[in-house]
Amino acid sequence: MAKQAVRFSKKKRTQYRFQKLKMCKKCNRYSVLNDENCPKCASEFVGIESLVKSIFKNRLLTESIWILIIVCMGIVAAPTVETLYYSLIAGVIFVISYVLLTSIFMKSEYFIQLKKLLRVDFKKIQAGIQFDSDLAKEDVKQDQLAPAYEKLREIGDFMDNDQVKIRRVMVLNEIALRSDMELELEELIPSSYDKDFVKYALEVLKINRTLITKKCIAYFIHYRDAVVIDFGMDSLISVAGTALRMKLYILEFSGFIEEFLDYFPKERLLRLCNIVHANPDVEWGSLEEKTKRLVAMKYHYDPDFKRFVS
Amino acid sequence: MYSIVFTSALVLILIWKIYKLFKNKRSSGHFEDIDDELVIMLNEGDSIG
Repeated sequence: MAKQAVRFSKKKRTQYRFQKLKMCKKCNRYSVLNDENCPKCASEFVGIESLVKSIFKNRLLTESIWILIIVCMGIVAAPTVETLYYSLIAGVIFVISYVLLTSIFMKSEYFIQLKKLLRVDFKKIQAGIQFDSDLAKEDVKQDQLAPAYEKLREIGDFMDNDQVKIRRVMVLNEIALRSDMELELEELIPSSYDKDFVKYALEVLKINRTLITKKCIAYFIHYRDAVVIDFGMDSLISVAGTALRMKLYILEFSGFIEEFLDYFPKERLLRLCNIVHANPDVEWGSLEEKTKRLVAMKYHYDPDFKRFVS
Repeated sequence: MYSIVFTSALVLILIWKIYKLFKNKRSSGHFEDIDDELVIMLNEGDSIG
């Protein structure tokens, strides 16, 4: 089946994850998606920060009313005119102190209010994410892969489980990936071997090597037998070739690289030679020896390798 | 006498408020902690997928 050509919208970035939470006040339902309006009732979502601020304002309003009642009672109950004035002045000083104190501790009060809201509404948030997840499922069923992936991407910021990761990977495997896409890989690594993930990782490797990180290479090494069975030896050779991207990776995975050294294309071997040659003080172990031997054997005639052949 | 009682009541309320504010200040932390706590809570025994 032909892969779908799609364009993803840019991922909305926030300083903190909780800032992505929003609520439909009519449905009393949370969401983590990018939609501005509730898909159920079409009313506008309210961001968690605005929600906390409005709760905080309401609390302050209630406190202010109580203070006003107490001060008014004190003034009304004053037995003499002198005590009435005294109560009035004391009341004003009290109100000013109260307001000042609250504004000084505003940040910690906001923090506590937010924490309290998230704890109290935790079940509602969970149900809201489940609803978002169901919407993504619907999109997949209707073959709308881009909106489905965008939804799963937002859910993935909150849900760190294999189910969500694999669902994202499965959608991505149905899409024609391009280098200009904002792709993720390390975040999608599942806790056990998954054929879909490996298929996706190998596709990513072709279009953007920078996404193949230490964690990803370690995954391939850990499940190398299963990878070879499903995708052949070439896949491991490509991953080992990608490990040459950074000096640190070469040191970390020198044994793995050494194993596939004989199968590297010229350009990869040349890169390895350049890195080893540029860092003579680094302890490369047997990798250096094997590389030199291979160059002497296979590329001694090649002018690109001339400076490495002694 | 009335002035003393009234002032004492207001001062007591203010002390209680200061106590609450300091207590909240002590137990408040970084917003990163809220993020971490939220993710842990959502992923504990989760069934969303």
